[in-house]
Amino acid sequence: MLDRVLKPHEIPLSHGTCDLDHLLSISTDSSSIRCTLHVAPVESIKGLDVTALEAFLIGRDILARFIDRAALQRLIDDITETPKQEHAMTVAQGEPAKNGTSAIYTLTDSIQEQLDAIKKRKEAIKSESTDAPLKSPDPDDADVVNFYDQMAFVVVKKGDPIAYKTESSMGTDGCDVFGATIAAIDGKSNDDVLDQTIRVDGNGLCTAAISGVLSASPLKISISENLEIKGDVDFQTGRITFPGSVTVNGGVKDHFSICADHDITIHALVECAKIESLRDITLSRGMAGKDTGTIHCVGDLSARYLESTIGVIIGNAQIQSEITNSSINVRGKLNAEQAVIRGGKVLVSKEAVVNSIGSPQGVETTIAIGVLEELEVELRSIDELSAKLETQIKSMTTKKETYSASIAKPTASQIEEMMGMDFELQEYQSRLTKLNDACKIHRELLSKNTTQRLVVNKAIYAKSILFLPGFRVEFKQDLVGESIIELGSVGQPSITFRGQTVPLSEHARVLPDETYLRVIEDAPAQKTAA
Amino acid sequence: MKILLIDDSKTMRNIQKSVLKQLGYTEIEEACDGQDALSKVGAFQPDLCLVDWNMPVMDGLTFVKNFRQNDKNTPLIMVTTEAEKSRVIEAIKAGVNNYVVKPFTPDLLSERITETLAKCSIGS
Repeated sequence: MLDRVLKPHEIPLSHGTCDLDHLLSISTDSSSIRCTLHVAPVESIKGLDVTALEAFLIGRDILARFIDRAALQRLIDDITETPKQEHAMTVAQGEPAKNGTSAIYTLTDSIQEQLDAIKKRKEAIKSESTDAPLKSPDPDDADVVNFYDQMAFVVVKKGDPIAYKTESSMGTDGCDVFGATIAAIDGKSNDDVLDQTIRVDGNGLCTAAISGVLSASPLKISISENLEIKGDVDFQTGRITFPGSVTVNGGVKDHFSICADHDITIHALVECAKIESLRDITLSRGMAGKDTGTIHCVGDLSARYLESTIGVIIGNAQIQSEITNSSINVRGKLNAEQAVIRGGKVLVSKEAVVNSIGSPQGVETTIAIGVLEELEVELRSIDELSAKLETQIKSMTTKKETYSASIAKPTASQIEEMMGMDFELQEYQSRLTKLNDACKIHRELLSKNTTQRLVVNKAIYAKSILFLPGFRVEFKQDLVGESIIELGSVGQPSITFRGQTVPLSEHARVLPDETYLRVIEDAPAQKTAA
Repeated sequence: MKILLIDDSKTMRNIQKSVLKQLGYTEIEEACDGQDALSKVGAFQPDLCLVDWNMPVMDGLTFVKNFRQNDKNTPLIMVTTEAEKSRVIEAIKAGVNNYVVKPFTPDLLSERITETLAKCSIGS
């Protein structure tokens, strides 16, 4: 090793030695990480050794710590072997900068499996012939994928694990052969890959902050509470069960379904499908249920038309054009002022406004107004139980009285037996009281939640049947014109027709009927008015 | 509050249980005679016993006498058809704290239970 680094001009040259400045030159790569020493052909290598070369490199500002002395020795060996040839060798190497790594999000196995399954599903559906549409799978065949039930979306619930985050790291600066710093690039935090719909905890676990549909790409992972289907709900989407709102720009094909916790909006035709929402449903066109398609809505329903559909609407229903051959139960109001009800059976708990009922061709159409079937079923069952209990109380009372009368001086066991009878009687009485209370509550509910008022704007055609609580009304001939049919808390059903309010029996056949219970307010016990 | 009902009639036990539940007592054990009751008191450690007089295997009076040999404090109510004064005195001498004659009304039983528990609580 040199005690002091010699500059090229300080290296002593004896006679016959080579002139290093003319003989040697250096080059570096673009980032000056590597230095190559070039040696021109020489006549003699006298004075050319590792020390001289090293001194030359240092004289060219190459940092001594980066000089590879072994490489210099190899170069000397090469020159010695073929001095009349040009030589070049990398003789110094700097330290490259080490860039940091950016944050990475790795989807959980469960999410990844679902995404993979969806991808496979899409490929499988693509490969199916369009001439032979997919059929419902054989439930006994475990290998067959059920394309009806497999949804083409990853739906997550609030709190579900979505991904793991590997945090970014800082870079380490490098140094070129001249000692200049090569700045490293720090890894990106990639926070913008997630939005507020996904939370990251201290351990890097990413969980759903809301329930909804997950979209995941390398650049963005997010959850939407609104699922928008661009086309139809069919084999491309599978049956949909979703915790948010669903908007379908197309229609819903036969045997598919949408069950949503929030609103459902469908812009094209709904066929024989199942549509269920815990809030409102809007059918921009309508539903042709082919007698088995169902619609269930906890909120309100708005539809252009319902045809051969079975439906339960807990809120109000607004129908624009017609309800045909359907079985519809509306617990709120029915607003169908421009719509025709033709065929089928429509039950409405509160007021109904319709354009017409039945048709001039005499299609049998049934409508019930001011009825609440489910509550009535319970009320009837309470009535039955009460009647049974009353019979038991009567029989037990008679038994006890007969028993007491037959004994002059009761023995200990007879006293106990009579106490047992008393106890049983008290139990029955207590149950009867509870049933009566339940009956009262049901009656109040029935009374509060029903309104017996039907407004018909245009006509009620012959063969239409109207049920009011306690009555069946048969229309034997067309009643053309605006009419309002009402049933007060007591009395007979009345009709206001052409400005005159008369008993409905003047225009139709009114029969007492127990199909739907009539609650008479303040009556001592629940009885059907009929 | 743990209560032991000792009566050979299931109906009577049910009646008493119903009254006790109405009074808010839910920790109730049943025994069908005096011997059955003695076998249960160790584990159950009742705070009150309602005892019938006439029972097979071991009658109520024998149970009371046996029970009082080891436990002087737990209140005992004799619930029986034996209404003669001499019988009542005999029971009290044996160690019962109160006496209910069958047939009783739920109100009467309830009253006696409350009364007995109050007395025994003051006594202790």
